[in-house]
Amino acid sequence: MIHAPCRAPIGLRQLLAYWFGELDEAAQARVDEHLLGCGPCSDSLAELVALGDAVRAVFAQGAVRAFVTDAFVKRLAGHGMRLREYRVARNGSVNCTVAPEDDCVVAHLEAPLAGVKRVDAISYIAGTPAEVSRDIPFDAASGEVVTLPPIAWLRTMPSHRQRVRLVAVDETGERVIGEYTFNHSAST
Amino acid sequence: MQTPPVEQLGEEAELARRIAQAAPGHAREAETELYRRLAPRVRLYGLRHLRDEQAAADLMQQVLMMTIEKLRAGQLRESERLASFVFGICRMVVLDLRRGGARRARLLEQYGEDMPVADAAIAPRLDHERVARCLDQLSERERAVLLMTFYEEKGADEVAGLLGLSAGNVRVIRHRGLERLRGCVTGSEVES
Repeated sequence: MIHAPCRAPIGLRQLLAYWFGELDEAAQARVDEHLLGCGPCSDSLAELVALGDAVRAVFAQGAVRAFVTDAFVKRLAGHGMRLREYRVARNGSVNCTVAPEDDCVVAHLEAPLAGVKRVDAISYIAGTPAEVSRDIPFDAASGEVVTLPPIAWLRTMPSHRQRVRLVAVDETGERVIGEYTFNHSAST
Repeated sequence: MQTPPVEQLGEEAELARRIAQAAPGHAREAETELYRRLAPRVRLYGLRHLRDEQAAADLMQQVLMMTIEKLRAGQLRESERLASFVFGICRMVVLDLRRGGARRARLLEQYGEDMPVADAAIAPRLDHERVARCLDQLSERERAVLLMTFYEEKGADEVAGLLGLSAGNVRVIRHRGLERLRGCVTGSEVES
C-alpha cells in the first residue's frame, strides 16, 4: 500500500521497545495512536512482526543453529518441544543420533568457564572445512556451553564423527578449555 | 514523539468526512477504503495488546464495525482526529475482550451484514530459506538473542535473564542483529 510519507517516523529501536512492552504507559499510548494513524510506520512494524514470525518458523523447521543456555532449553521443553539432549563431559565423547519424533537436539558441553570472558567453538567433521563460531553466548555460572545444531541438517547426515573444541580467548591469547567427540549414527 | 501531522491523515480524514456526510450506509466506497487502510493497523494493535491471532482478528472486526457505525452516526466531530478516535475505540474493545467479549455478538448481530470487508493481511510472507541463510550470517550472539526474543516474544529483561547478559546489552545486540537480518532478507545489505 502506498502512503504519504511520515514526518516523524518511529525508529526501529522504539518499535522494538513498543512491541516487546518496554515503554512506559504514556509512551506506549503515543506509539499506539501514531501507528493507528500512520501507514508507513504501521508497515514498518508489520515487517518487523513478519520477520519475527519467520524466525520462529525457520527455528520450528530445524533450520537454525544456535548456542543458547540451559534456561532457554527448559523453555523449549516447557512449550512441549521433544528434545534429545546429550551431556558431554570435558574431553569426553558421546554416541548420538536423531529420531523422527525429535523436535530438537541439544548438546551440553561441560567446561570450566569461571572467569572466562569469550569462548570460540571450532567444529571438525572429516572431509569438510572446520567451522569456527566466534564469541558464542554462554552462562559462565552453569559450567556448560549449550548448542542446538540445526536438526534438519542433522537428519540428512550419514554416520560420522564430529569433534568440537572450545577455546577461551582473552587479551593474553587463546587456550583450549575442552574437546568433545560426537559419534553420530544416521537416523533410521 | 508526536502523533502524525494532520496532512498525513488527510486522505483518511477525507474518507471519514464522506462517511459522516452521507446517509447511513450510502458511502460504501469510502467505508471499504477506510476499512482497507485501517484493518492491518488495528490488527497489529490487537496482536500487540492481546498476543493472539484470533483475538486480534476479533478486535479488528469489532473496532472497524464500531468506527464506521460511529462515523455514520456523525460521532466524530473533527475528522482530522480519526487516529485518536480509533485509538479510543481500540482501548475500549480490548477491555471488553478481556472481560469476555459480550459486545462482539451484539455488534455482529446488529451490523455484521451491513459492513464492508477487506483483506487485512499485515505483511507478505517471507522466504524462509532466505531467512534461514540470513540468520546463519549473523554473529552467534545476534542469532541467539533474536531466537530467544522472537521464540516467545520476550522483552530484553527476560532474554537478558536467559543469557546472563544485561538488558541494555541485549537491546544493543537485538537492534544490531535485527538491522542486519532485515537488510539481508530484503536485499538492502549485500550477503557475505
